[in-house]
Amino acid sequence: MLRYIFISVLFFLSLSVRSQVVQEVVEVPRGFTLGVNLAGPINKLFDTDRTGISFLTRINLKEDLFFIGEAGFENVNFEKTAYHYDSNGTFIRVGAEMDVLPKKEEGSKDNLLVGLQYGFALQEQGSSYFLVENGYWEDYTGRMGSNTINTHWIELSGGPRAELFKNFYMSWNLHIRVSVASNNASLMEPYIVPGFGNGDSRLNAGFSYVLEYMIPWTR
Amino acid sequence: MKCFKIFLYIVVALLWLLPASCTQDQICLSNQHAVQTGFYSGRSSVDKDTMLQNSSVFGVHPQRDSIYATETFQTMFLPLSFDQDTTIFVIDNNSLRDTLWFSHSKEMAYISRECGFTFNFTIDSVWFTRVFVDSVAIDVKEVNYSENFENVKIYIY
Repeated sequence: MLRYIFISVLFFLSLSVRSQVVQEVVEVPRGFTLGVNLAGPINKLFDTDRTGISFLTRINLKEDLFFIGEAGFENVNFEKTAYHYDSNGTFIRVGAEMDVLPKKEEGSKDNLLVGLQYGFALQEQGSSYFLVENGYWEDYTGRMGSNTINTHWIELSGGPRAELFKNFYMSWNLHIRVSVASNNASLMEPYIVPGFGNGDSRLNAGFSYVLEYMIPWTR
Repeated sequence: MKCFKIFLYIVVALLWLLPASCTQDQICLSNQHAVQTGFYSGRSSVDKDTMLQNSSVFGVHPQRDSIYATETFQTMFLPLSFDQDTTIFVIDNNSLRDTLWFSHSKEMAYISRECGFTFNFTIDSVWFTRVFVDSVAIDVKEVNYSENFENVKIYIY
């Protein structure tokens, strides 16, 4: 019996020592990040009618599992011949990301992140003027009062993340978003759903370009 | 190595942006609220299309310019009024005149974010005078954006 206990203690001690050795070799940073998603400002370069930005955090739940939370806003204002449009809205996105990078160099803190997220947007939109051209009889002009819309969606994301400087990361992600519910009672579809994209479509692709700083809670 | 990594990330991110900057605008269609009519022989027992020779068509109440001016045609596209529930057209065929009254209802519709709004119409009934028009039949009541159907058959002597 004593011999059995002695061997068992030795076995568990050896496991403990081994795990300590492994932890020393593969040092995984743990903590949370504060970051900015530059997709909004970049979108504005191509479409000046849109104004938006979002901020996010990633939290290590496990070595290869992250919680991600993001919040931001996006406003759209334009005046076309057919109609004028105003939309102000905010969104949140929460979910999880997994690091699927198979083999890392020693000391590397780079990731290949694949994630699943839930998104929610709340926006108010309206048209202060619209025109329906007839071409023969009188044209029709009118206005559409503002209405509030909730949109829910699910999205898949994937992309690399790299540590450029100590605790400073840069990443880009491709997002595939599917709208699952919307309470739009208006005739007019949202031009842009904040955080989701084209309001005419239930399926959207998008990108994010993130700079983030990590605040570690373990060494 | 770090500089190379930064450069690589920026290049790849910019590559993602290229498709977004090259998306094409949707083409918006015009004259989508016009009733499409066809002329048919009133003397034939089956639908046999026919041409109306050297004729003019114009709207009245209020009077408008000609949509067709001394032309020969088999099909007419007659725009419906947004302001009134009945749109009236006069067909002038070598000084013989017939009048068509289209009674309709309309519903506003959203086309797309590029094109804005339009009206879709439902033709409720058509009245007509009988100088050279024999009869009129409504084939497709709905006049909708981007649809291309012959709505009304006009049988003429």
